[in-house]
Amino acid sequence: MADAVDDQGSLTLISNDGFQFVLPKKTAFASKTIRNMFNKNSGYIEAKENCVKFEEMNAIMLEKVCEYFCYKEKFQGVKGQIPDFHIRPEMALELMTIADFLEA
Amino acid sequence: MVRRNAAPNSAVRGPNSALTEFLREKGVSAREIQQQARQRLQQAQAEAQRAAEEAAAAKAKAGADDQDEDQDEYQDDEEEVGESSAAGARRRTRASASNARSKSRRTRKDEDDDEEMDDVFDEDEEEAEEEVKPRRGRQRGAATSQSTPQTTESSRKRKRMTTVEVSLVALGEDSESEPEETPVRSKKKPTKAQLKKMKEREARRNGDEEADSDSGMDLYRVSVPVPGQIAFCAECNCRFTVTPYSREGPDGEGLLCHACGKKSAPIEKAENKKKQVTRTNKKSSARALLDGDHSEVKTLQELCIQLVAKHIDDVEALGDIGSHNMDKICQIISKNRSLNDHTMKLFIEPADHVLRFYDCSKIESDSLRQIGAFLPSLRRLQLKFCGRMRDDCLDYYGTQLKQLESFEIYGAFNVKEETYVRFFQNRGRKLKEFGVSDTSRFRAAAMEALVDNCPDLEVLRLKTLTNIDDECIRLLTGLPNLRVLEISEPSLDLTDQPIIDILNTCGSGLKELNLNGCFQLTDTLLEAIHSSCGQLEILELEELDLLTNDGFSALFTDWSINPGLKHVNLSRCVLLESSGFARMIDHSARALEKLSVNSCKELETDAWDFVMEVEMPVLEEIDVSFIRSVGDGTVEGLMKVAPKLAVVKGWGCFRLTESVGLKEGLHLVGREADLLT
Repeated sequence: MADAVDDQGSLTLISNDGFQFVLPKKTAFASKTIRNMFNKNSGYIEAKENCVKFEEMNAIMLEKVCEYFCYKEKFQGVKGQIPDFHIRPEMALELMTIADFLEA
Repeated sequence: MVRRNAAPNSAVRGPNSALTEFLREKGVSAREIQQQARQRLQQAQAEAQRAAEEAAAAKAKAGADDQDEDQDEYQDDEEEVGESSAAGARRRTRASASNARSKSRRTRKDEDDDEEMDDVFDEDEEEAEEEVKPRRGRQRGAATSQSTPQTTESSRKRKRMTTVEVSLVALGEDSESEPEETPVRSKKKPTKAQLKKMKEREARRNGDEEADSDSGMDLYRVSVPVPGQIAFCAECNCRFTVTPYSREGPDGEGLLCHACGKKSAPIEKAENKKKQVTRTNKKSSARALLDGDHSEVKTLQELCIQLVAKHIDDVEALGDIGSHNMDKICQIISKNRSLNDHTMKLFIEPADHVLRFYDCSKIESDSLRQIGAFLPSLRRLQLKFCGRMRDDCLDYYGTQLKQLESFEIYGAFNVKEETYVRFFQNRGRKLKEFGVSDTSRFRAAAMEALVDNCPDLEVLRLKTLTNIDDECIRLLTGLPNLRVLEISEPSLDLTDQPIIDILNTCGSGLKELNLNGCFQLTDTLLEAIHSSCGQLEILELEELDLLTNDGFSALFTDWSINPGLKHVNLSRCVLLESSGFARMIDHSARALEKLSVNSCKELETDAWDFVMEVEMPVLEEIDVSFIRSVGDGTVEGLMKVAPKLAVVKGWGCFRLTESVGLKEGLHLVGREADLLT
């Protein structure tokens, strides 16, 4: 897709239980799905409101996802040892389906 | 500089360490000596004062003309040569003063050494200095063992190095020994930071010395921090002994005492550590490079899959997740090509009746065998890409999986024909669905066994089999209960007749017919479909380029026994024209859910005009790729007549532009404007 995406500023991710997470767009665009949502050509309403509501994620999962976005941004391109990203085992399966959805 | 200059001439030039030891034994501390020196200095000053007063008195007698000037100069320097009568007294004063000065200098020197040794004990904790300690001890040992002149020389060197008060004159004196000294010095420098600090200090001192080259300003030196001196901390104002490692005050003026200097130490330590970390990073990255290990940030999915794989034996740790999710997870894991001997265990639950592995290419035959052992009550089993499966595995399934009703085994090219035969003999009676693909070993004998042993077979999928010919296909006439028949992309050419024979026996019950890629089929087949397949819902005839427009027209004209097709795939049936297409729409419009006319290049605008006039209430997906007549109006019209339309595939349709008005929820895939901008 063309780069009709503005990665300046920030966006808000909302979980299904109402928690809001504000992230820099650049960070959140680690997810291709979110990135495509903010593509102007696709005309999603999310792009206008700078706000994405995830009906299928609760706050715990979304927090972990945001944590991962930051982790990825921090260590992307860093050579050598990268510290592990900690996920609790009981979250793993649910998080995996979410990650699949987000293409993260 | 002056101080240094005087030092070599001074009488006290013995081996320093010996002297220090001696002083310590005698209980002479640097402070006492300094106090004494100060007292002597004060005495000398008092004496000078007295002498000056006498001189002034004499001068007063002599004349008032040069009195003022003399007084001023005296106050500045204490050293100005006055009138002849005062000269003697003044000379005496100067002598005593310089004496006292040299003494104090001497004691200061001793202090230096004393403090240096103290430093070693005081500041052990400081990392930067750890390197210095053993070296000093070594050198001190060497110094004491050597003969006197050498010792003096080496001690002088040592002093210069450790305190870095290198005076230019002294350097000039030792110019011969300089080259051999340099490496030693470089070895001694503990850190770059420290060296820098020392240099700064040295430079400042040099500057100071240039500014007041006059020996009279010696006392002023107390404010300049020299190792060994007593100074006042810039922060807490307490008294402390200056060492070469005393840190500078926060604003660059004065030095910090040991306690205050230590406060900032952790920060520097952390910085040092950071540096070390980056160094190890460099090392490990080099190692990673050699190992071919790409250390990139893993995707969240990879992380999760790794975690799942790690906790695979501890199912409870992964929490409770429904079986439909398990299939979804299996799909995700397969998509990431992470389904292996280890991760597959996650999906083996003895109570399950259904198991689908979407990519078994990394699962060993023995692990696949475990399915038979752990899941004896399995009813449906689908294994894709199981190229590693061997005969014994399929044999084991044949004896073990007694409930098996549906078995799809794709890509098992290692399994021999006899094994298939044995499997059908063992399991055939119950088998209702069977699928096989991508093997050259499934031939007539296996087909015969299948037909003989599986009379109730309803679903048969034969995909990309290399050795299936007309004779083989004709055997399928023995399966009257078929609902689904797929014979796609065979390597050998299949002709109409065997398939027509099959349709004659089971065509009335057939719901799905897939003959993708059987290139030799002709319109005769379409006639057979027309006459026998009353319940057909899914018709896939991809790439059958011998089928003509007339054949299609005939198929869909007056096909009253069939209520309408749900899925129609006529991709690359290049002879299809608008009239045949219109017949098809006319027949199936109300039932069509999915339609593909990919690359049917003969379709013109009149075909779409016809579509605009019919209702297609359940159409969800349409593929109109590579048809030139498709434009913005076509898609907009389709949206109107097909309210449920969700996906339009429009690859290679040049007339589809950005300006097409899409309704919400409709995905237009492959539009050129999206790809190029």
